[in-house]
Amino acid sequence: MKAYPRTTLGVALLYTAGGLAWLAAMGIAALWFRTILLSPHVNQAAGYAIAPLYYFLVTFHGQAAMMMIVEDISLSIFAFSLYKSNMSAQHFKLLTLSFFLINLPMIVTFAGGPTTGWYMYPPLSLQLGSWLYFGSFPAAIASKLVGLAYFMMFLNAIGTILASITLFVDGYKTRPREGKIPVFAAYGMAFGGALIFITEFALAAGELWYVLYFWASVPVNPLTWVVLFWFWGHPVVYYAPFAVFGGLYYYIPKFAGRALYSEKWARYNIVLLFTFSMLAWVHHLQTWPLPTVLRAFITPTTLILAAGSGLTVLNLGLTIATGKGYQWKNPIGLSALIALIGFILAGLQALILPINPLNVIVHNTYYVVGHFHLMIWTIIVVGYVSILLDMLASKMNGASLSSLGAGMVSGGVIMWTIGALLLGYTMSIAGYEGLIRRWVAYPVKFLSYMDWMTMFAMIMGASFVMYGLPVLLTLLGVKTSAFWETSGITGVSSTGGGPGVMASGTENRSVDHVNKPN
Amino acid sequence: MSEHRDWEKIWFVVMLVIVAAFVGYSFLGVVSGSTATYRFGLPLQSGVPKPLPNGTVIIYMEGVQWAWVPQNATQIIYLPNGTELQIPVSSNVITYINGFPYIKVYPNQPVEMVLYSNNVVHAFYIRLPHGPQNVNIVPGINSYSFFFAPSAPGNYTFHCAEYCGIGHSYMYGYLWVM
Ligand SMILES: [Cu+2]
Repeated sequence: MKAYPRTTLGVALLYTAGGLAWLAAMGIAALWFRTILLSPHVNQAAGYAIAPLYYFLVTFHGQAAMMMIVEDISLSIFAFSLYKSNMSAQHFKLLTLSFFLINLPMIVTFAGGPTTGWYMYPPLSLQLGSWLYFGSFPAAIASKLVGLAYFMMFLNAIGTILASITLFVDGYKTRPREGKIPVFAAYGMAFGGALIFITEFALAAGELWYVLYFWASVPVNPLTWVVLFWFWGHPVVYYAPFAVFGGLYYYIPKFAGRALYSEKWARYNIVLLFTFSMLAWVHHLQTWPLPTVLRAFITPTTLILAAGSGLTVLNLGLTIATGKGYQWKNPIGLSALIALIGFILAGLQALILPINPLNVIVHNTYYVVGHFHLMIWTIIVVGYVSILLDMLASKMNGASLSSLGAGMVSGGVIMWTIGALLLGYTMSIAGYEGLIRRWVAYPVKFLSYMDWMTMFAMIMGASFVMYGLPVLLTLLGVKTSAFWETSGITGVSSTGGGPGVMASGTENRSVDHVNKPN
Repeated sequence: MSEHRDWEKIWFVVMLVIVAAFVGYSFLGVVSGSTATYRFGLPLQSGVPKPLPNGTVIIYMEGVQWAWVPQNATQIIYLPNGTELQIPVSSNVITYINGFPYIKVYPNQPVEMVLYSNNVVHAFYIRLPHGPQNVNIVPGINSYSFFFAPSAPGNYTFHCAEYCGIGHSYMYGYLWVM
């Protein structure tokens, strides 16, 4: 992995490294605040004492995830999808610059001690008291500093826009001269590219509005800001999973031993998912004082989007069902399969959410928290692992995982998914029973739910180490011989030179032995 | 090739039927108010019965960081000739115990909450045996919540459901069914 890559694969690996670094940090934050939640803090004095730390950790957890990890891994998948499709990145300087724009500026933001929550609603997020450190300065200085914190978030959004446009343009320029763009890369172009650079502008605009509030006294209208924010805040949850869909369309046929059941529908689905992912955002605001017609509008748009996801599941499910026996013993195949099954199980929870009369029952409760975490843990994390393993195999010049490496990854991913299902559903049951999200103090009847959640989270933490270790060490180039079978392949594979020395278009694609679907 | 087409078309039809059913159910809930939580839980007063039922107690409730402050209460009474009277009942209805507000109501009494915020976004959330109320409160805009008090006497906790700063989880009070 290089800090200034000059190959498409190198770009994919760099963004992976950024995503994994923040993932580790946000995971530690999650385990930390789960230990805080082991007490219901019935005593107000105790609750108020721990609350600032708790809400900082929650904010950090959410913002690292939504503003950096999601973007890093979506762009990483996008770059790798180009690599696998004989397309390539070209503007390496720009892509490296945007990588650092995405991943570094928000360190300043976090240093300011935000306790705003990741969706930083106004006017709470405009109160200097919501910033533990920056807010401790005299008001005149504090407001400049908080403005700076939001400016750094603005730079993060600009980095994301820059990266997605650059990769999109590069991908378009290097598209196949004859025939269509392969499905994997087409999903990369749509969801790691176009969807990001269209919707990320809403975030950038919202952040800039905050900057101007502090630096130029521009007033902020709460309702308008919130509607603007969710135009990014909703599509952002699709960047990664829909890019992963492209990967599943690529790997699942490979391990099912047949071509994709219907490539045509996979392509139609891009249009459906792309359009409707931008029409559903107000479903986050169903309990808000917005016109009834707007709240009614999102029910069909969200459900049509869900049906599009269902189409993906059907297409892939039929590919497996009509294939020659699925090779689930291969860690890449196993992860792709688990991601698909997890996506179905997490998707079922969501079916009641767009229904207006039912939404109010669970709005802002752990029900929703359980649903979206289960989505993240399965389709995003496990789906990403399957793509990442192939990425690392490419880095290792087409080597395959050793039995130790394969065992750690497969065992880790299975254990992770079991923990995820237990935790996700426990959260949802507690939410259905009335546990509201972001309570540092909660009614004692939820104590045993919280205990179990922490227990299951620890299972997930342990299994993350299990499958993350081979991944991390391979990425860093440490002890790789323990995890990879390199016999017969000594540094340079038979199909080309190592990554980092090849010109675009002729990069090593040693594990790419899948038949192109027709 | 032809055996492909069938499955996709079947899926498409199934999908349309499911979407239509869900949307229809949701739409009917919105329009007819068949779902208590939605009809009575909407902000912007949509779905709040007009005129309010006889005996409705109206609570003017402010959300602050971090407490619920019931500022005023009136009760709707209709005279035999139809004239609507709003009787001030604050001293009978609003009380504080250990610093937390209690709203005293009778079993099955109709309750309308007029909700507003002096600073940040809050949400009024109460779980009743016949369904929860869950309404966001945006500063500068009144939100409304209408419901019938439970028939069983007891204390029912109302909370803030929208994160509003570090005291968020201590923002609660009680509906006291006498
Ligand atoms: Cu509140």
